[in-house]
Amino acid sequence: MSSHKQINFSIRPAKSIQRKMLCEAFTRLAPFARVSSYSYIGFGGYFFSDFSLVHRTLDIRRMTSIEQETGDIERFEYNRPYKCITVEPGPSGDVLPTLSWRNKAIVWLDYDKRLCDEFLADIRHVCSNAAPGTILVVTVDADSKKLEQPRDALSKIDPKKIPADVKDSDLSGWGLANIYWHIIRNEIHEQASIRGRTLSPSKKLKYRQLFNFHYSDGTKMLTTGGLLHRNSQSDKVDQCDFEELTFVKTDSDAFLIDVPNLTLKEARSLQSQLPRTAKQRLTTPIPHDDVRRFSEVYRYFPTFVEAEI
Amino acid sequence: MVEDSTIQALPSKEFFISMLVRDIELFDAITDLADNSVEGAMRVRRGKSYRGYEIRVEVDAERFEISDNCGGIPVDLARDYAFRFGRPAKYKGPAPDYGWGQFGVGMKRALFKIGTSFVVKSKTRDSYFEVKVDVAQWKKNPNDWTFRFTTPSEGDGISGKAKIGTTIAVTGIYDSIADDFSLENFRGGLRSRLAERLEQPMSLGLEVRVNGKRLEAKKPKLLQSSVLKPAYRRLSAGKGRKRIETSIYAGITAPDPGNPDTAGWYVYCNGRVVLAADQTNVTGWGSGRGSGVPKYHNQYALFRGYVFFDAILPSLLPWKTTKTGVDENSPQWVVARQQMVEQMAPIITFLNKLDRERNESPDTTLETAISKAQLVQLASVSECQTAIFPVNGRVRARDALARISYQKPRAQVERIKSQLDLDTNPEVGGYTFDYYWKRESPGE
Repeated sequence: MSSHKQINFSIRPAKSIQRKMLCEAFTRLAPFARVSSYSYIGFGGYFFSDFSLVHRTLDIRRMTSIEQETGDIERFEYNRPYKCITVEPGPSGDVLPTLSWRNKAIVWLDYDKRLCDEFLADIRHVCSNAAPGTILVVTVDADSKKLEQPRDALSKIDPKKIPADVKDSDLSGWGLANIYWHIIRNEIHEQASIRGRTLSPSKKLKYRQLFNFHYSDGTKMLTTGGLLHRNSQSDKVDQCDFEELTFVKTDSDAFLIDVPNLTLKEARSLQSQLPRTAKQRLTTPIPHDDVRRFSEVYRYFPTFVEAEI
Repeated sequence: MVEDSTIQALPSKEFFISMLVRDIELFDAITDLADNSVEGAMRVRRGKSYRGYEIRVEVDAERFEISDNCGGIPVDLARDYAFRFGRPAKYKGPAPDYGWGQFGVGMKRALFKIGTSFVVKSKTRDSYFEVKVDVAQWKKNPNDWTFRFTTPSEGDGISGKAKIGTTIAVTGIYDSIADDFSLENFRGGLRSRLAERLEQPMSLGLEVRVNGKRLEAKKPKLLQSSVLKPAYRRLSAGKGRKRIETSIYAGITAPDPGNPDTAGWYVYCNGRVVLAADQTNVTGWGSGRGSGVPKYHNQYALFRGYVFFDAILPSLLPWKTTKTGVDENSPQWVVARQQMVEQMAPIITFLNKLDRERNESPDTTLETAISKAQLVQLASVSECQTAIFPVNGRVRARDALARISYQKPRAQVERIKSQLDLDTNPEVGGYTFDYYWKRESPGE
């Protein structure tokens, strides 16, 4: 009876939940422009999971996947789930400058490595060139466990950009994610500021952070990002009402995607009792903490199907 | 007919200020203000230590403030010199020996650059003054180049509550500068720059804080062991109060995966860094064929050179007015640079040998010698005309390695990798070569 088996973490449920949350946030961009008119730029890999979800939920038709494994481009193109996806071979640092930035875009730089100067350069490039109304999201590996020295996590970053007084103890647990968050945010602010130097106050670029996710499917990851907009568009941003979404975080406070270890049967049973009011007690043998964790992400929980083979 | 043959040549304040502030970058302007604090400490400290003295910099979009407890500015100094543009030729004020600020322009230049109004308050043991300047107001009278004290002077008006030291606050910060001040990356860059330029007084105890966080001094160090010795030469010129001492150290530092940006020459004038990590022709890189010193390249990332010029009279030192470079025409510099180039050449040769050893030889003599050497402070380095380095192990001709480079279809290479469970192309090359050698045994 497979529904009694616990959910298989190798399919990365936390990442899947995050993807759905991001998409839900993207649907709120309507006050800026018709969301389907946006471009989408990301790292599709072989599976193009984010591309699929974005196209299906938002009907975006200008999609670019940057693929650094240039040896096998035909294979990546073969695996494209939809015709409207273009695969551009090369490292992001080479490809981003060749793209057209005239159109508003959703850009998700889903790196699977630790933060480094090259990634910061990519962030700078997007901030310098993106059309106001663009959303930039960055994901990096923020796990210091596997390193010889925790400090190695910062070794590929210009020392001037690392916040002062960082001690080794600050790098354990989610500490490294917080430091990366800080560095990325400083980079975006700096570039937005530079871009606006010669512009009038209403045209100056502002960054409204929307995302600060901590999640782990075995390795701690950080996703952070937000909306780049002109000062004069601040009221449009307010109209988007992003803050209504519980997972939207506009500052150093992170949203932890914490997937409880439940069996399928438990997940389904809990789900049928949600959403609940604050006072409501759920009838269930599942530990209270797991119930709480589940109720925070249940709407985005992957739907699993049992199959007879 | 009466002709008026006079031509007005008085500078306009507007022009003067705009030329003045264009001359200097923001980081350097702020460092200039910190320099004044250091010079203040030089005037009052006992001995060479700066322990107990501190400089605090507070910077944000609305306000810039630098305060210190470095003895304060005596009011007569303020009256006759600190607020003048340029030092009067006959001035015999209490400029400290081995001081920094002979140019007299630094403070005004920095303040005019940052904002539209500033207040300078300073208390010494015997005096206290305050100067408030609204730049727009001040510019209005084209002929009056004076400033006014708001609270005079010696004896009276010594504010009982104020501590000895100086506080300078600037408000009405110019837009572009305010934009910079509000960036954490800018503040990080400022911290880095101050720590770099004020390394020596900081190493001698001076505390410097930016927005409350203390800066760390990074003392210069070189690798040294029984087989590895840095070069260290001393020169001097002039006599008595006009004497200039020059010390030149050159060698290598320990390998650090982090940062090749810190390689190159560091030049100090009376302990103030004027060039840091210089990799340009100014310090001898790319000195032309035959000199043995090529243009800087990351292969030389271990190179460190330190030049110290010290003189009682700062005007004799080879630095630019902005303290951000050297006066390349100064005879002191010309002589020193020649020595620097001579010291660099054998180090470059060694670094080339090290690179060859790493890439082409099974030998690890040089690498091992480096790992066994100690990083020592410059005070522990003894005079040595030319740097001394270990020699390559003698590599027998039979063991010498040659590099083979060729291309094969990617699909075939990948196939072999997966069959043999290898990770890299060079491993594939090595394996296939060894395969032939074992089977066919040509020669041996």
